[in-house]
Amino acid sequence: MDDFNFDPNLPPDENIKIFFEHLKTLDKKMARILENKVKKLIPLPDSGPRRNSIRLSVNSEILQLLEPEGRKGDGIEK
Amino acid sequence: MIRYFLKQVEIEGFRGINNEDDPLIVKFKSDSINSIFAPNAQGKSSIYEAICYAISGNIPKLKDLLSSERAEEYYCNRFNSTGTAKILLTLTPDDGSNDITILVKRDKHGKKNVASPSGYNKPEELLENLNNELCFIDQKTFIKFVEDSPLERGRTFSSLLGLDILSQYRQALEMLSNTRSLNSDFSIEQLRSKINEIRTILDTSVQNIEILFNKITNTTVPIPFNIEVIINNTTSILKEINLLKQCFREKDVLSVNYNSIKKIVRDAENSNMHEQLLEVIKKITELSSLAPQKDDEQYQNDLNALVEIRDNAFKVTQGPLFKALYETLLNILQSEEWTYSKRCPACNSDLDYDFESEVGKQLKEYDEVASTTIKIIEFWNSNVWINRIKNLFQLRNLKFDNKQKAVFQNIENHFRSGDLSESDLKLFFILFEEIEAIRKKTLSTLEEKKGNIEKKLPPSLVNLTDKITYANQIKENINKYLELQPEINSLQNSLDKRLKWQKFVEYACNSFAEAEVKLSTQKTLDLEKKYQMIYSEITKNVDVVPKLKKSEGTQNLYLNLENFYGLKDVAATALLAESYKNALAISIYLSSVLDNILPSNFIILDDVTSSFDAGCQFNLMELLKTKIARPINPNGPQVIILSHDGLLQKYFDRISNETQWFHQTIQGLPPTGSIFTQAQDPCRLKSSVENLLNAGKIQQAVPYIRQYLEFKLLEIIRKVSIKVPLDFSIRDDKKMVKNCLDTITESIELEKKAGTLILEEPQTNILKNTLISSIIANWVSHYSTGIISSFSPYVLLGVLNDIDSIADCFKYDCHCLSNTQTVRRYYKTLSSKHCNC
Repeated sequence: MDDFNFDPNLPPDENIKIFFEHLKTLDKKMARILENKVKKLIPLPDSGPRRNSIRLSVNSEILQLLEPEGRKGDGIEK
Repeated sequence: MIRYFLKQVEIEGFRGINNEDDPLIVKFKSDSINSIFAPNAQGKSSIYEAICYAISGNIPKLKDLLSSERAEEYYCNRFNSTGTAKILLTLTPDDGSNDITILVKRDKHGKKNVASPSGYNKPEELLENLNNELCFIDQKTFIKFVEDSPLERGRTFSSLLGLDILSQYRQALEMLSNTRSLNSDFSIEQLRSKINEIRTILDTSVQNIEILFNKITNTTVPIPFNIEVIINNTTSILKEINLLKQCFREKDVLSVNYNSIKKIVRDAENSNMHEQLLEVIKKITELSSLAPQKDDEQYQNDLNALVEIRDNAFKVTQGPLFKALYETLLNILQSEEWTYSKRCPACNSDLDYDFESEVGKQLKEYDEVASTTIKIIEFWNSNVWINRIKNLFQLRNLKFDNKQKAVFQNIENHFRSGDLSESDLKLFFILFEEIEAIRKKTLSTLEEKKGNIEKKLPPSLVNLTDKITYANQIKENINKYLELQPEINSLQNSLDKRLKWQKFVEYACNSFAEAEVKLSTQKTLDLEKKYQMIYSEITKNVDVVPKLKKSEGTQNLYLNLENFYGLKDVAATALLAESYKNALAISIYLSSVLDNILPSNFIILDDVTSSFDAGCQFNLMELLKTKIARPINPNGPQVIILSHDGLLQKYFDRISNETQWFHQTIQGLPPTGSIFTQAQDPCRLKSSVENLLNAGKIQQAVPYIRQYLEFKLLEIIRKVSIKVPLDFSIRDDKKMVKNCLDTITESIELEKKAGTLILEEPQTNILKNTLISSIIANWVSHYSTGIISSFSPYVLLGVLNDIDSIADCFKYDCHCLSNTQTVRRYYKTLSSKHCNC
């Protein structure tokens, strides 16, 4: 995979945008999911337990988007 | 990007500012440097904290308090009867649009409420945009920056470079790509284990189908493995048997009725011998399918290796008790109640390293133990060899003694808990051999029994019975195969998606982190010239040149000196004096301000020069005025300086007549009463005194009269360029009223004797004979002796007028400055005017 670099002349928000554009060239669907969900973690909470709980909830949403049909009956779907 | 200047702040009921029903109003100018002076404990820092709270939602000083110190009770002013704090910010956008007002309230329960009286749509979002580390700079910021660990300093610096949001995104990506979290949140190991479990059953079914197919058709299963072909071929063979033709009409090996087949065979044989044969064949097939396989030895070696790895990993750790201790410590360190990064919560010792990282390192040593333990448990759940042993142990026709049963039970328990030891394994391998011996013995007995039955039956019927048994068994295995195949496909599909995501976020995280480090390194280099220039301007010392050093691939940032009186690349923290360390810190912060374009186009400096010597203080102010701040630097920030420093106050007073500087002082009675600002103009002190005298507050007014007199006399000396003695010019303690009056009168005498005095005769007379003597007699001498209680407000108002009259003696009517009116203008010197008026 190609190296990704930030543009020092762009503000951070713009750089974040072009980073996700770069990811979209690799996998559009996953890049969109990541872009939308990572925003939910910002600003990062200071406390470790709070971070864990937000991460768990975001990962659960990601799984739902990756497997919208769900996996029923095997007892391991999240 | 729209950028905002701070135009005004109104504060009521916050920290040291009570001002009940009479909010403190502080105005700022966007095209001036704004300075605010107040002696200590006059509410200056409360202004800083109010703006900081309104924008960032907290006050660092209170945020750092322990929860037991109940920081939340100290935001609102404790003497304000409403218990509610109100902070009203007025912001001016740089695109020429209307001012925006944002009202931030905090009630006594700590609830924050944000609204915009001017009708701005998203006031909270705007405040969030304005919030950055470069807005609020105080002495503590510098000390922290200098004394922090290289990692913490690096993080702060990253934020100064405007990379804070990138750092947050990187950390968020790290959270989402963390292997352990993903394994747990996405149930990856659980899913893998379930797939292995089903695959084991599926593999056994395929193996059985292959054996049975061979027995029925005398051929091997066609490659590739195709279940339809197997069903068709088996059905064709069975259909060819005359006795079964009728049963297989429009049926296949899966749908045929085996009870009706059995009945047909029973009727043909006219006894129940074939049923006994069926039963024996079934048991033989079952036992045969559980025979040892060629991979068994490899599996045993794998299991041995896993236990050895787990045991070795465990030896590196300090055992389960310490694990529990580290986990508890980590919980405390990550809790909101614990705010010290370099203190042990167990013994309260202060450490010189980050304790959470250390505890994390210790816990990581248990990771290998945990992951190998999980693999051992999975081995029990899904390994083909183990499953075969478990199946053998469950067969009714195999007889085990109580000792073997107990050993099996014990080992199963150890497997399930992951506590399997090397001695358990030895016992398990012995048990496996015993089970195999029993299997072989039982199989041999069954073969013998089968032979005996077959001898009593006609060979054709024996062959038929064999085929029917195999057909029935192949049917069961095919059904199992058809049932499990879609299930395993679905599970595998799910696992593949989750693993693909894992790989994707790992890539995203790594490439983001690498790009961030590269950008940060580049920005650090770009900033170098700027902070070196600022540092040199503040310290005026060319023999000391600072240089920030970043560790490659990490966030660690070191404060180094490129040059220290000839020494190269040495540690700034070890060599620089306090004042110079802070000068270095402010150089870095100011260069970052110049390098960043942020929505907040203002910086507030609260007592940043406290540890500076006088020279550095003035150098910094001059630097702000001439190079950094607006208006001289149109792209620079609006600078707001808060100070309690007496020397700086004199500097502010002197400079405040210049249009590019807007100075105010804070006066009043915090934290119980009200405080107010007084815009610094030539009449500032006078109007303050008049207000106090009109209110009958003589005691409060007296020090200001003295200050006003001193201010006006120094103004005369400066404006009229009166020559002063050397010690008067360089020593602030000499700039007192008596010395000023002496200097002025002696200079007048000198010019008079030289015949060059420009003052008019009446001015000289009134000055010498009336005003100066009156001031000395009525005011200076009494003030010096402290006898002021007998003065009435009217007398003191007269003193104020006398002070103005003294200044007026050094002025003339000028008609050329304005077309419409005559201006009273100071003489240029005691012997000349500015013009010919």
